Amino acid sequence: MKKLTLLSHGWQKTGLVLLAFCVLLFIVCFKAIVHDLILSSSYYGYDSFGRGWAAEALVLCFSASVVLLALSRERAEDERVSAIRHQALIRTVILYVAIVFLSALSNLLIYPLFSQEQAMQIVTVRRLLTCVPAFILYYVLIFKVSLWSDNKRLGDEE
Amino acid sequence: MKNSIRVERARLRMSQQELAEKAGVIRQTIAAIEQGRFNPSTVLALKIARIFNLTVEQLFELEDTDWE
Repeated sequence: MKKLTLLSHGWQKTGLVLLAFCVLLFIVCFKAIVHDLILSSSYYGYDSFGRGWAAEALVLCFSASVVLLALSRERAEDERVSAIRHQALIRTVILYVAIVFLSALSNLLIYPLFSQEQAMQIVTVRRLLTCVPAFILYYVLIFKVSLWSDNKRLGDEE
Repeated sequence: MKNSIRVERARLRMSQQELAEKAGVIRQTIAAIEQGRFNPSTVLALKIARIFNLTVEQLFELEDTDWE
């Protein structure tokens, strides 16, 4: 089986460091980030124009971290791990479509219950959950859990 | 797909780890193949067969469910 073209395993550590930095940034600059990414939503959804440095840094670091985590190989990668990657990608697409469908449905149902401004914020949260970096994060989580559970099921040597 | 990897390993007193190293995969992959949870590629099947000095047909056998 032809090996997948992936980054070396060392890039996973860089991805994890960036993700940790994102979590730290989110905690430290919580107010500014929530304001810039969600509360300042307009009718057209969130707009990168005029966003503060914290929100901008969070978006950039988060995007880079999930890409590095998704595209770097495991410490030991072979054709079984590649098969798990393919399976995880299929599961991610199914999950993503379900999230898009449910969020669109919930928007329709709850939209009349809120003011225009609140409704736009809900739409923005939906957009954050369905953006490309979020899709890659779902893939990384599904792949890691699948690999961990498969390895655990195979257990120690008999 | 059935296989007799475990039997052949036992015959040669070879551990899963040793076989995995010779075949260029990780130990869990050998365990998954032995348990019938993962079907190896043609290249890997040929490699494993060659390690045991057997043909692929001697090591792997199709089951009725493989035709479904």
